Amino acid sequence: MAVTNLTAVTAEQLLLRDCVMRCAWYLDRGDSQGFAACFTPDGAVVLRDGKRYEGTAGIRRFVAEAGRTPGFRGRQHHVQPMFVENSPDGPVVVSYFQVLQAKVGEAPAIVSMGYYRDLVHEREGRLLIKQRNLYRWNSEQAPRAGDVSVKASHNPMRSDRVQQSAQPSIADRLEMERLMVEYAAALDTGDLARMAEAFESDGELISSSLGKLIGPAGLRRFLANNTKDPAFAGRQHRIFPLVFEQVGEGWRAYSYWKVETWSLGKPATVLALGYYEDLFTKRSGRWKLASKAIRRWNNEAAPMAPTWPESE
Amino acid sequence: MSMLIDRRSALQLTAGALMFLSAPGLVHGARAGSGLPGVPELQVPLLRYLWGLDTLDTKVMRSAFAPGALVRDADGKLWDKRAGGLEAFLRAQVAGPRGAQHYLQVNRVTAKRGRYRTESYWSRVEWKADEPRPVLTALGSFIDELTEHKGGWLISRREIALWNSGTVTVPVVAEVGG
Repeated sequence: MAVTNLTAVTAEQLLLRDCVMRCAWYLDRGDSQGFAACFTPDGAVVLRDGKRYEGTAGIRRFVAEAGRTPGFRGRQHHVQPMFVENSPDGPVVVSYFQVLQAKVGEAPAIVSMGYYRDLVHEREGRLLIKQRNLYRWNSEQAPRAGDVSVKASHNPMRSDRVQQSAQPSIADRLEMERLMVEYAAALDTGDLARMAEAFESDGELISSSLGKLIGPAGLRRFLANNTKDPAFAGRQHRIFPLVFEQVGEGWRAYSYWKVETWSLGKPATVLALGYYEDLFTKRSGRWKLASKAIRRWNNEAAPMAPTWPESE
Repeated sequence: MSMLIDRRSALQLTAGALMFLSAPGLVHGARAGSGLPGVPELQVPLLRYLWGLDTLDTKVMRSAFAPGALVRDADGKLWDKRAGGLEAFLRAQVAGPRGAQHYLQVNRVTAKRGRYRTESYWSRVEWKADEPRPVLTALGSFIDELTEHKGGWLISRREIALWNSGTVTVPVVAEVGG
């Protein structure tokens, strides 16, 4: 069913969520310009030791410095916005993040985790980060009950209308994201009908191991190849939608994926890391996946920005 | 393509409530008169619960549940009145160590008579300060029933399960369809 009359709460939360999640795509690819564009021109990144990177030039320097550190290529930041505080300066989005690293020949590892507090401002109809504060989360540094205020006050943003240009509508965005997780859940449960429902009848699935698979027969082959693995049960595919780009009447979306697995009697592990390049088209009034390319993400395959690494 | 939001409506709907958000999913069905809640809105109580769980805050966890909510935990125990109810369940949750984060992915939302049912993945990552890296410690699923209370959504029923090779069966898909 097409969703057309979503509530304003849903719309607001999706926009705020998008504002803080999409930065990861630029940061992890060493794209300082793209990352800085997620911030207001007078924005700032504040590290947990108090070090500040201010303004567009400062934020670009933050990414450039990070991009020169050993092991930078192959890292992904997975961000989960948790709630919004209405501070006197504007809404603050509080999010979990974890940093994962994949190297060829090694299992991916979670190398760090923490939380962000992103103060969001509206500038010329766009939601941008005014200040990002980073904090670590572990058994000694995680916030305790009440450490972070989760009590909302009534402090409306300055404008009562926000406009996001060159982005899908909220309803379209939610529908495309729904198809992304439908694919993932269908894969994890070996549900061919559910997976086929997410694709156009002639949709393509591009797999690194099986090549281009077309239509329901292709999806069947893909699922058959996966589910014949005795260790397949117990896997979860996690999707982190990041960036949408308009392509004709459709949309291309980039999202991170992660496969976690838990075989009984063994520790749960991260099995693989990558990103999807999805193309969505609308036929007969319904969005479907016209193609899904499954890409790996590691220290050799991560699609770094052409400018990476930036020299001092 | 552009998109407009009526922020005044948003504030009316969220007045007095915490604004929690997150990841993707679907909403089927419609409520007459007002717009549909999307997944970001329905996730408000689901994420509120996880924040409370990870900061060992029973007050925040409790605020995610509707009065009289029922929880069945991953061991199959139903926390009804006889078992001490929701309060006893919440107290049991905060006995865990500090330093964990739970991640959520809503995979499906269905609507029935003004209630919404969500099916979600969860994963738990823990970082002990004396260890160099965080570790993934468990995977699981939630099936939640959400009901509307004072303009927001609360969990009225929750089923918690672990997700591993012992709890999940995946059919082997045949190479050639019949």
